[in-house]
Amino acid sequence: MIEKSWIMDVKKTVEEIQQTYAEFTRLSILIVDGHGRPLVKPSSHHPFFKKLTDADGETRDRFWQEVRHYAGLTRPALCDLWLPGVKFIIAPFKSPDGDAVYYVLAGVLIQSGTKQMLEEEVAGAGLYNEGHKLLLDLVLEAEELSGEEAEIWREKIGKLAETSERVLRSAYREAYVRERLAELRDVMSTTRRDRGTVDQAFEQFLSVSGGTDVMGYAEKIGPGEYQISRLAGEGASLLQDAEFREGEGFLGQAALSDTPMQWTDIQRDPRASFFKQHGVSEFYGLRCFPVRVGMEKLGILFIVSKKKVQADSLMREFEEVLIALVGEYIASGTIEARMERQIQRLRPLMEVTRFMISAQNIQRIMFMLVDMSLSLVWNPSSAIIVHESSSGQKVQIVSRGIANDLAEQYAREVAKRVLHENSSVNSPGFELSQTEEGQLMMEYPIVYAGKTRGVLAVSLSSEQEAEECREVLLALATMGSIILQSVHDQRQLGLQNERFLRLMYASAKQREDDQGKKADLSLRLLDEYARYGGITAEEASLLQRANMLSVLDDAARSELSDSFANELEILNEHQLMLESEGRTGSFSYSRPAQLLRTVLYFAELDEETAGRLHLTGVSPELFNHFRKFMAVRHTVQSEVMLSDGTPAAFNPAEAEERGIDAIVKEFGLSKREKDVLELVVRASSNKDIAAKLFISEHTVKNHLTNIFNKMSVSDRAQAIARVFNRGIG
Amino acid sequence: MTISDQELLKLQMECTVFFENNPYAYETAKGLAKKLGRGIEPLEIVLNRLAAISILDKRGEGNMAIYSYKTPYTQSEVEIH
Repeated sequence: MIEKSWIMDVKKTVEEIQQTYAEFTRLSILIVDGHGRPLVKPSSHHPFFKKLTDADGETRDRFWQEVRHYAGLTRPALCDLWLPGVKFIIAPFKSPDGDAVYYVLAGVLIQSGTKQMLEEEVAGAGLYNEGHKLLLDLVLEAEELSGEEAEIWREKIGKLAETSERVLRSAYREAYVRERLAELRDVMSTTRRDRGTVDQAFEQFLSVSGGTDVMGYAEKIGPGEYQISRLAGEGASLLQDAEFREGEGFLGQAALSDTPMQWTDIQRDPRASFFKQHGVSEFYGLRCFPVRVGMEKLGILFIVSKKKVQADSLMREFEEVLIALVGEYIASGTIEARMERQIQRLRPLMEVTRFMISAQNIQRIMFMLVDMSLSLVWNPSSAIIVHESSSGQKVQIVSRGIANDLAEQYAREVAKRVLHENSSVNSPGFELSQTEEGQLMMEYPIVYAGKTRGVLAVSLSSEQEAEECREVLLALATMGSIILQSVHDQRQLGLQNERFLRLMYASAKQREDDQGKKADLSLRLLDEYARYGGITAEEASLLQRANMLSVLDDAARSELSDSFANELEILNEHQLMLESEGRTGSFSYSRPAQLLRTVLYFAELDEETAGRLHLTGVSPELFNHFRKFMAVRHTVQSEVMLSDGTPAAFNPAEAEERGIDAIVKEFGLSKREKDVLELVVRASSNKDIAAKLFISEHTVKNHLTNIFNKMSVSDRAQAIARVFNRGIG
Repeated sequence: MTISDQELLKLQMECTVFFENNPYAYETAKGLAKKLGRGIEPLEIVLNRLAAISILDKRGEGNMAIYSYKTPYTQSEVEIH
């Protein structure tokens, strides 16, 4: 394509120059390529070249065969062709693309005083017909020249060769650059439209580069590590996916540099062994260009030239621009892909937030933050959230993918660094830190209630991954902070309301002495029943609030109805249960209502085991469990009374500690059984024990069976009673 | 029809929340697909991803693989000093 266009453009100019020289030197001139094909029409002072180009194939071939004897010429020379004394000037010059040699042929020159002799020689030369005729015409028409004149014409024709070379090359490179720019425009337009065809675009860029043999891109895949991810060109397919490190070979050296680098004549250089090892047998030069986004290095774009190519400054400049463009193309593609990945991860965050809002529990929110952070990043290795405890002297952690002791060690370090006392709100961004084991951690502050309360940390294998994930993790941590703030606010509001309820309860108690005493006893029973393990602490608080509300008059309850809707609902159910007591039929009441009914019944009775064997609407299991608790409670209290004759303040913690030590010694409990028993006494359910000791519920049950066997008790109630008995005794 | 990465990620979130809410659930991909009203194929991809990042425990292989929630390490009383 280029060949045709540049010849068309420059043909006339070269012909005119050639014609001028022909008239000036009175010689016939012909400019030919390396195969003897005329580049332009011959300029004939006499018709030799015209006749030659019009002659049959044999004549032209024979003439060209004569010219080829001088193929090694580097300078213009006077050469004998066909017959000694028939002289032509042959001036070589480089073809426009630098790959071949072209020639200016000018003739014929016959030395003064030799024309007569040559005519005779031609006559007797025995040439074939056409050649004979042509040569004879040539000699007859040629002018005789002196040696000095021939030398002048040799120099002049040499100048013509130089001028032709410059004109042809200039036109060629202009056409070359113009056509490649047009191709480049097409490639850019295609790639802008369709990002999906990156490999194809790479091939197209290679095609636009013209002289380039292999173009490749080595992507940074880790600290100091690179992998060839894109290749175009022939004979280098084995380079695909090949890896190297910074400093290794030419590519490794380029990776260490911030500027483009270039090497030539590298075949024997040991640094080129990387290419040989990956099947690239032919290479001469290498050019490398760093691809980066801001300060971050993404990879190395490289071009391997298989052969030595002479390129002038304009072409080199064009190639440099092209390489820079390809580099920008890769960089912009990388940014686009990163943004797409971030958007992909940001969208599901809305769903995550919805789920997190529904979890009104700090530990569950911490679980979600850890799990979601692992889900939202590529190649995560671990995540941990460190959150201050309510006392501020300890921290709580939830972690995955990190050894327990290391998680605790890291939590201490973070607590000292980030959660120090009186710490104000930290910057909302993230920080990169490194653990003592060298693990890279991205840390995001969890900020609410005007203070940094925790840190969400995710470990990643590279800074590049950190770069890609930082926004989405920041969004997650921010959402976590907002949700924790909401939980905190609700708790604060709940505490205030509860304080107000307690004040109103205290005031109401003074008016209703008897009812107040029963309500007080109910509150204590609920506390103790929670410690016994019959209900959770949350259930106990809920029922205590309902119990306090039961003492208030209708006006006060109405005033608090917005803040204690659940509690009032339980009270309503309780009222219905009272009304239905003793009736037959099917009743369905909530568990809290059943519990309240049972607790208030026993408080009213002030007896532990006497009274009814069931209550209408209360499940027998629930009723019997509470009755058993009351029996244990009664035993413990009686023994406290007996020990010194006066009712002692019942201190479960002290009794528990003494009792457990005594039991362990007496019945030979193992360390693990002691741990389980301690938790049983502290009212932990099997599920809680399993979670706290990191064992399965099945294992907990096994331990309990062993403990009960050793202690000769049949259930946990008896075990607890026995612990307190030993503690008191 | 192939499911996009974004849809997979959304499903991954949904599965994570399901197992967080049901820490004692032991589910096959088929059982979970029925519960969540989702296709088995994308669900299997997501469950395996969650197992790879240690959010889920995977027992067995293929159709018979059972997935359950792996409770993260929790320590509520780490002394700072």
